[in-house]
Amino acid sequence: MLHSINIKIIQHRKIFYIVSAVIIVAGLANIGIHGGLKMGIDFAGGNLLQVDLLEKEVGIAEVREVLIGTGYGNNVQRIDDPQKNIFILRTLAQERDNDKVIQEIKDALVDKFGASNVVIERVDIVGPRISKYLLRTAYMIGVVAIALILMYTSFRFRFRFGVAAIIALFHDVFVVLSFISFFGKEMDTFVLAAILTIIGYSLNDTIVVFDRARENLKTSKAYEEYELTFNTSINQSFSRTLITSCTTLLALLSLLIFGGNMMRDFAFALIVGVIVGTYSSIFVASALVVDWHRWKPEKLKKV
Amino acid sequence: MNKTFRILIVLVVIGIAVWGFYPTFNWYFQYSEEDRELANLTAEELLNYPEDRRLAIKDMKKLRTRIINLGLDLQGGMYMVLEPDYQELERRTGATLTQEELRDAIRRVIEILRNRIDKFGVSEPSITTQGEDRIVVELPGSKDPDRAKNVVMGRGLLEFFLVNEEASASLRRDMFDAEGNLIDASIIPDDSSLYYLWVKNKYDVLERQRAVVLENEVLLDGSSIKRAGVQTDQFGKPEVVFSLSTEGAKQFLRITEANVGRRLAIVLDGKILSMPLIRERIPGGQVRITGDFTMKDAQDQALVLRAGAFPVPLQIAEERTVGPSLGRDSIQAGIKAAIIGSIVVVLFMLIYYKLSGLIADIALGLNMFFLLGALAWLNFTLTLPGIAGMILTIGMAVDANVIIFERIKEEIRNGKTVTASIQSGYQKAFRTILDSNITTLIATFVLSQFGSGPIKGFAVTLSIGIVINMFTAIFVTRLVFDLGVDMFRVKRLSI
Repeated sequence: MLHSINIKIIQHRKIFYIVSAVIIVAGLANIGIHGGLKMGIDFAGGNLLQVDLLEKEVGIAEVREVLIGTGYGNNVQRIDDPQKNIFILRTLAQERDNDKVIQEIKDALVDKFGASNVVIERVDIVGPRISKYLLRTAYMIGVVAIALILMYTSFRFRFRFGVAAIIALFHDVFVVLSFISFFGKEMDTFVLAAILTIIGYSLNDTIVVFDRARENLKTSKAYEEYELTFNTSINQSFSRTLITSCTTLLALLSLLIFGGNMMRDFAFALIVGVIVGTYSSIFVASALVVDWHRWKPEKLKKV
Repeated sequence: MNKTFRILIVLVVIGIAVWGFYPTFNWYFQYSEEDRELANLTAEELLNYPEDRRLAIKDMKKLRTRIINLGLDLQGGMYMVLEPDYQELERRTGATLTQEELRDAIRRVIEILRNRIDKFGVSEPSITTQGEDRIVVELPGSKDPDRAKNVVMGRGLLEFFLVNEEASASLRRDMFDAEGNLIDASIIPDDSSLYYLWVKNKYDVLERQRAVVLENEVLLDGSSIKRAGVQTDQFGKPEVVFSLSTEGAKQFLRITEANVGRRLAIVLDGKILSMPLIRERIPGGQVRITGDFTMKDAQDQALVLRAGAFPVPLQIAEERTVGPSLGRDSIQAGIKAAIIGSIVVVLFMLIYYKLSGLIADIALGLNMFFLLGALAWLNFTLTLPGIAGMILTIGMAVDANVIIFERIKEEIRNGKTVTASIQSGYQKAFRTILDSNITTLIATFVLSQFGSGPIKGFAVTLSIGIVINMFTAIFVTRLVFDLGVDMFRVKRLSI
């Protein structure tokens, strides 16, 4: 079955370079147009109130009116669940007394819709100091993660393979961020967690392919046909890479569909990441190594 | 390693997992919701129960320290980060705090918080510090987050009312039933309410003593109190002293001026603790309460007054509150997604790898069971992202087996015997599996340092799941294969 596949991947690598480039450029442009990624309250600070209006037939405009009435802006979203009447109200972070803001909004909602119709499902308050702290921590984590991955790849792979793997990782991160931007999702701690997980996962995949390639390149005959050998290596790892991605995606799809409103965005980011991670391991990482070899052939290591 | 030894290892690990997980199973499935609530009782409230019940409840409390807890996002509850309100502090006292003073103040705030929350009766409340000047308060399972917040912030906790002497004097024993509750509430005038005076009994626990009618108007509340303590007068008699903030002092002057000769009730959390007489107008916000009390009484009273006030004004820097309905929904959704995800993955493996797929599925089942056992041993707090981590583990766990099986298939295609294929399959795959798991572990390790509860839960479940996976996917499945080949003399692999 899958083991006898022989697709000319490396031979057609130009196509895949273009696809990746288009997505990333479009993504960056989209992000640029919107003035950066939309930051969730974890990183931008703010107040969030998730309210369930039970059986009341309410349109989002009415709820927005209530919020506007309190003077704290008009940021109201409705949760995408047809059976429920759940709204998310957001405000910017005040310098102080954010919990009073929440109380005022709560009171306004009760005034308008009646206490028995208003169920506060969740409240999030992130003051300005905390959001700065979280943002700083996020950057620190990013730096540490990159450093660790760099150390690991340089010791695990020969230099070129390592660099190619890292470029593939950056590719993955940019594509995921592009999709986050395309779909108007927010950058919050969940997206950060998803990105880190995907980095681990994608590197995982890339290692499998490169391990095969390294094994196959041991003979000098195979080495002469660098391109062909890589292509074969990819095809040989195909079944494993696809099946693993399949099972991971099946599990994640379950999370996306059944996991409830809170996990939906998280699952989305992970799913995009797994797909991109697999794509980059198959179509991008090896292609980079092959092109580098064409540009500057590496010497065959006599072990 | 011979097969018997390996079987023994697997059985021992299963045993450890069962032993670790049993308390959790016991707690969630063998006790009813009401029973579990009982474990929240404070030491005070426990005294209302007979001795044998008390022991049973104490056992339950002990059990609770050995289970997998539910995070705030799964059982509902409140997470708050408090930090000093430097602006307000400067406004009130015009001064800033030194490092030493700050540290001291934080320590005292924590003490006060502990006292308040203890009385509130929440399951496993937690108060910790974060950095130099932040206090983290977690109140899981809080059914009334508004009240919880008020208790924590000390609002409405300590209040001062005037005693309605006429109404109080008219109370007679026959107006109350056997339990001491008022039979007919209409005898209380509209502008007043009924309260009870509470006194510490010989067990040092507060007990209801008698009913008093107080006027409804809240004259002062605890947030105006700056300091409270005990001193002795010239005769050595103890007296309670407290000082008020500038605002509070002004108010107090007005109150005392207008009400000399009346009694002022000091009410803590709805219980009257003392009713000193207002002898004169008090201008400076320095108040002395004198009476026939012992040093201990005085100290208790001062404690109460202090409990009403933080040494520094605090504000809420961060809050995450989840209502019980959302918590219930989340946990249901999480479990549903986990079960469906497992079924789909299991079916996939069965269909694609047939009998070997079944072996991989059994390994997956053990993987998740060991994971739960490990989390139970760690007394872990499970959050919704934690469940997501488990689901991701389910999807990724079979990867190791996929690698092995594909290699075995390849070896068979290359003409090797079943035994040889299995052996070289596992051998060649081992290095790759180790490597690929390490990269994910690096990522989750970094994540787990992020510190923020929910994400940390995700990182921990995923990393433990992967580590355990290396055991189940390699050791356990290999054992099954070897057993199958040796015991059942399998000639062709169903793979």
